[in-house]
Amino acid sequence: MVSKSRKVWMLGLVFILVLLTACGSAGSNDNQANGSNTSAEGQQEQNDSNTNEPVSEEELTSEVNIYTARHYDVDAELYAQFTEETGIQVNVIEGKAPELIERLKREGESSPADLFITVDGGILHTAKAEGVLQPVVSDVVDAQVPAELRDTDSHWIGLSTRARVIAYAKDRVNPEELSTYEDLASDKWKGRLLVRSSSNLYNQSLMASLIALNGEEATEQWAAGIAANLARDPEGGDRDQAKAIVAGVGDVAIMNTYYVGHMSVSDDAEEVKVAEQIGVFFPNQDSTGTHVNISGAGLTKHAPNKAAAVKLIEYLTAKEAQEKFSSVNFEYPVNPDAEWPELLQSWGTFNKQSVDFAAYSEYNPKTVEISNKVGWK
Amino acid sequence: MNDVIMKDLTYRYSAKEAPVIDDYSLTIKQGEVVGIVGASGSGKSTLLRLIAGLEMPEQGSITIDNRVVVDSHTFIHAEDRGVGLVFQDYALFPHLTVAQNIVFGLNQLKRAERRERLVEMLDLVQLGGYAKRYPHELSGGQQQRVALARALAPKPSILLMDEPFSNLDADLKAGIRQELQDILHKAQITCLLVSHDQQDIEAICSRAVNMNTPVMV
Amino acid sequence: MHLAAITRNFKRHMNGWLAVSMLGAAGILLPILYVLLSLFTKPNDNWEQVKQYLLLDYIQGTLMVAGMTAVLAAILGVGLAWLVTAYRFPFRGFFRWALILPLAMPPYIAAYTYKTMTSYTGIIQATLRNHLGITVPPGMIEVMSMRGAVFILTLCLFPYVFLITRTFLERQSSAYIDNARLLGRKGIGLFFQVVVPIARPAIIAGVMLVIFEAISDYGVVSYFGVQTVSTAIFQIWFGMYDVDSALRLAAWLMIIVIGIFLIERWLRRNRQFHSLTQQAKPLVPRSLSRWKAVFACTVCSLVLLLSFIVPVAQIAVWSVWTSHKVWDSNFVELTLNTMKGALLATLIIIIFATVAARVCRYASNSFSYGMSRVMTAGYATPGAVIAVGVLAVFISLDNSLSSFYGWMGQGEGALILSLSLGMLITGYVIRFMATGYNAMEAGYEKLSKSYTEAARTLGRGHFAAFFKIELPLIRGALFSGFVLAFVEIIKELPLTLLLRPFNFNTLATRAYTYAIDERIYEAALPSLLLIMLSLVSVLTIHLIGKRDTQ
Repeated sequence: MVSKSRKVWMLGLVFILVLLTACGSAGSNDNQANGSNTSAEGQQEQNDSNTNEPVSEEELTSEVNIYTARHYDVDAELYAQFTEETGIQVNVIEGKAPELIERLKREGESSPADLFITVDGGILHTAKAEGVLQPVVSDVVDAQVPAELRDTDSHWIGLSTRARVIAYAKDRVNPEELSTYEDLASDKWKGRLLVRSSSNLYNQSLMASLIALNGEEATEQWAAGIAANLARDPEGGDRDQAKAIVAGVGDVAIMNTYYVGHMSVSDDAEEVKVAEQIGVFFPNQDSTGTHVNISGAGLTKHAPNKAAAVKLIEYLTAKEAQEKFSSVNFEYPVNPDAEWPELLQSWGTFNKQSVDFAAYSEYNPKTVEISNKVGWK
Repeated sequence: MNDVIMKDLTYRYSAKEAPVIDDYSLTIKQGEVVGIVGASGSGKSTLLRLIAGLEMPEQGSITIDNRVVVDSHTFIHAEDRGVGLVFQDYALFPHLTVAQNIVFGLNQLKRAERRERLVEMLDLVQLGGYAKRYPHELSGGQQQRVALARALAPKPSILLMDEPFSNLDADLKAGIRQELQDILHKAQITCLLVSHDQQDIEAICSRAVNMNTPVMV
Repeated sequence: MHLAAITRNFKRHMNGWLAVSMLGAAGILLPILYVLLSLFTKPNDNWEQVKQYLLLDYIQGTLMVAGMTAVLAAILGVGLAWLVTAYRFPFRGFFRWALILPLAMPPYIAAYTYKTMTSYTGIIQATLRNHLGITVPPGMIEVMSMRGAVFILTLCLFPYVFLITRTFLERQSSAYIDNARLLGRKGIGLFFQVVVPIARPAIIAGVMLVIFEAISDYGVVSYFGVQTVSTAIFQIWFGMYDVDSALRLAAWLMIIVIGIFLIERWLRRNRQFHSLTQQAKPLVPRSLSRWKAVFACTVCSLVLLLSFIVPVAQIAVWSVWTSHKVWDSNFVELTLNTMKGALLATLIIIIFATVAARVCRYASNSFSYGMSRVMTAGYATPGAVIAVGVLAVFISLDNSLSSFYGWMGQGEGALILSLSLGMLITGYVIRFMATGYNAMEAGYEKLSKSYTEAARTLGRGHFAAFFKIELPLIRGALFSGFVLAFVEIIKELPLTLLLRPFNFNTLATRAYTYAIDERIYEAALPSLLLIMLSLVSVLTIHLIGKRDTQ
């Protein structure tokens, strides 16, 4: 009898669970059948409870909601300034880009998010491909950001760029020895090269750009050469490669520009010393150009505060905000009118790769496959 | 009649095992002190737990004071049965004093009545000076008497005692047996006690039942 | 069975307690089931690829990390617990509680602290180079590896074993150990032949916590580049954008965890020692000869230095370097947010854990056992995976409540629940229910069932039995369960990142924001505050323990 009563309980629990899940799925079907712009209106009513009249989509709302994978203090400062100047409240959820895309997808048309901000052109393209973005229509933005730093359909707008360059030991390497990414795979650099893990997105996007330029086969050979030339198994981040150069582990490293900038103003005197002892070289100047990556903002497909969101993009790509990005974070501005900070000026201008950022996401799986194949950890 | 009637009780610990109590019947008349003897594992304690409402039989019924407390479609919870149980380990609440332990079951009474009943119980078990003590400050025999007083305080229809002497020193046993007999007599309570020791039962009980070979009454 | 009999059985088992625990179980089960159900969807090509090339390596990695950490934490925890309970040596009283302090250190913070300290610009190499003129050969000090991850996890997790074993030895073991000494056992023989066997339940309980923490760890292993199942889940998700396969892998991880639970139950099957010596007197420590005392003191100091003092001191120095630009008034809000989320979640955990532990104690059948295990399965699951389950359930709840929101004037299709703090709290509760539950289960195991039965035969119901009798007697377990869960939650990161509402930052997310960008020095201040907050909590465990023994 005890066992029978146990079964009764089991059944009871299963029943409750089935009921609850049934409610959930029934509800989601309902929602799909509903009109598509209800969410926007609902959100606005919630935001602005004083006005009972329906608000048109283009009207400026009093807040803008951001899902961001950029975690820089300078971003928060710029949002605060934007609020001060426009009275539009900026709400933020920070997270990792794939998690945020997943959240956007699951929230669907109910999503409160207006902007999706992240680093890496590949991810921006993925967001577009996943169907969570819509075009930004703004003459101001078009004037401030060159077309090559925007999505072809303006689903996302670039905010800043960084170059992936070769850092070298000033005391051991003559910059004239350096030339291209391709050259780093040659025997000349055997046991002298440092780079972080191939699982890192910066490396994957670099490799993807090379696939776009040189083809798959050549890039596989290149990756094999890189793996063979490594002075040690990949470890740590970009800064750690710079430190390893100075420590004498290797002579050259592939790293992002702004890390050198950050180290040069570090609170740790030891890091400043490291930054002083390494040089920055922009490769492929005579051929395909230096690899750059981009961080950008995408307008979400069901943005409830579309007008405010576009206004924020306009604000962030304007000269003033761009100069701030650049001076605090050592990123390159996307707005050609913005002045570069001293450090970036000292490195000079350079030729950039002309590869569509979409290729970064398109070839990403290939890069993983190649790395596994050639044994670049 | 205000008897306790057990009819055709069957109980097993789990569906796979043989029943530890199999089709057992027993009637205890009001005022009787019945002792159950049996080897350990013979289901003596389980019988007490069935009567108290701490376990449910697979089959059979129990009637206390003309009220069916369990049968195939009734189950009255332990707290509503009006049965007193003295546990083998006494189960005195360690964080409560002797007085607090005894009045624990008297929450329905008014404060004054509760006091009165407490004094009455302390007198009955001759622990007048111990009201403020905590259980761990008492000897084993004293603890047993507190447990007895606590079980008797709410005036149960029947008192159940599980191995009342197992935790006591042998040389104290005779004295305590006598005390217990006096208390039960004074309280005029129907009582069912189980023990593995035939002598205990003979000394206290008006009737003895062997659990291993159920006797129909 | 007759309807009458069914109603009778229903009445027999039904009470508020069971109802509440079933409700809690249902709430916790939904997201977990969501993850587990992915096992029944059709696997895609990615999954085949993962299964074929990577799965074995990842499982091997997880087993290595969890296994090595468990063994080392057991050695450290049991050894130190025995040292401070059985012997008298300088500062023994201090080490007795100080060795639980590493619990306040989130492993991922310890990881980046150690990594930065041992790097070329870190204090160790910089001091050798600048003051002594010694250049350390590259690669000599190496933490970025499997060994490093095990080192960090061991130092941060051994206090679980230490705390549980020490408490057991102090309160329960004197009779056995005194006896064994009378029989001529001493030193190593006593330790291995008597202490370890009798403390087995406590040791296993502690080691289980360590194993689950190690399995679910993502921060340390991913930072050190060690491949485990939990890093694989994220590689599949972030690298291949394949959430379904990631969830499938997570589901397998959950199954493994439930398997380990069952093994644990089997290992602890004969743990009835405690009831034999209820009024046990404390173990009296013995004096050590001078050199042995110095040795004992040195061992304890070394462990404490490495696991707590050195990293905290380093973080404090970095905090000073960067406080001028990192510190702002937001920190008050960050601290309050951290505490608000943690307190609410802990409260809910303790209520459900107590109710469920009570139900399991008094209706000990395999159904209630199974229910309690599923409720606690979240513990060894990486936070982000639970987050996906919670997110899915909340969004579908919001969708099904859509018309209700419309009626309330909130607008149809609005996301109310999934933008509330409730979602994060739910995530915390699922993830850390086990911490609270284990404490309450242990509390109830020590409590004789007959107390409650006595209360009930005296005419008082479950309610009075609980509040008047059980609650005062399990108070200690309740407090330590509360504090342990609280500390876990304020250290939690991935769940917080994904489930928090707009503008909700905690100390952990702030630290993460800097650390992810390789700005370790800036991450130091929020880390330090976080450690201080959990330090206060950990110290209260100590104070509670002290009051309990008095």
